[in-house]
Amino acid sequence: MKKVLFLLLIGFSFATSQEKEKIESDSTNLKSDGFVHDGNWWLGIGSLNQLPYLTGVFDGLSLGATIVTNSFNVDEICYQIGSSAADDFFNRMDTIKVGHMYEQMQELYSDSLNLCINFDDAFKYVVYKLSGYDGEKLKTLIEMYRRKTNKK
Amino acid sequence: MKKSFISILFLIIACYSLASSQISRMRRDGLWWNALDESHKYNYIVGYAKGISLGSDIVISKYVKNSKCYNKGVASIDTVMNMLSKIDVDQMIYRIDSLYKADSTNLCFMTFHCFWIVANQLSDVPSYEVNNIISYYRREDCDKFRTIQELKEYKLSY
Repeated sequence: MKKVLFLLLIGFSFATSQEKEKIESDSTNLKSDGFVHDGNWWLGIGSLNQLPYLTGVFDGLSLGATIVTNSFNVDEICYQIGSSAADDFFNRMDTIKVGHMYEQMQELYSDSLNLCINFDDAFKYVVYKLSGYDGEKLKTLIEMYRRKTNKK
Repeated sequence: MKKSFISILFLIIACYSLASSQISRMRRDGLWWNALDESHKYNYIVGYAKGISLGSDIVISKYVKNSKCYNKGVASIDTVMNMLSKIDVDQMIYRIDSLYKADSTNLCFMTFHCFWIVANQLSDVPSYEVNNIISYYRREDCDKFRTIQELKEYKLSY
């Protein structure tokens, strides 16, 4: 019985220590420009960090889009172009849950050719994929994202 | 010994199921936030900042580079990102924790709204402007709940 209790406590403390991990390698302020967020980074941080991170990304998108569109008056063409782009993207996201996104991100980065694609482009690719882009469009998109990163 | 083992096991299971019932809560408010451990809070906040940048990029990418729309759009998000660059992630977490702990009527605030309230507070935005933001979010997030119990029992329709 003592052995079982000991093993249980070891297992529990191991699980707790895993939970405490976070994206240590990221910068500590809220603007993380200087860090490469690509497939290697994504797979490296592990699922315990990926899910809350992805949830945060979901929630932050709207504020980011609003900050830009609200810098214009509603009757300006810049506002109309911007809000139409935001509406299109958020309509696509309407039916997508964090869990779907997570699975698709893993699938995308499981192909080593895609590891160079940065997180932002991977995220957009998955949104377009889950919202019904056809195979031909997706192929063009992924090739563009791969080329974009390889150029840098 | 057997009794104490069962009690410990029960306690562990009870703590875990209580925490996970709050984590799986779909409404990301103070009840959800308080159930997260430090690592989840950290990753959520870092992800949120990434989401702001990505959300702005979705709009800006539709403008012709160096056009009037593009330049003004970029300037607006740069101002916010510069503001965020001065805020430490742990500081943000501490302030959101404090906001929820200060008053139980704040628990109804969505966590991403608290992020914006705290970001403004930490950026020396005049207090009357921050109060306006708080009042706006209180109307949006909290007015529909008459009691904390109603908030606890609230379920999203999806």
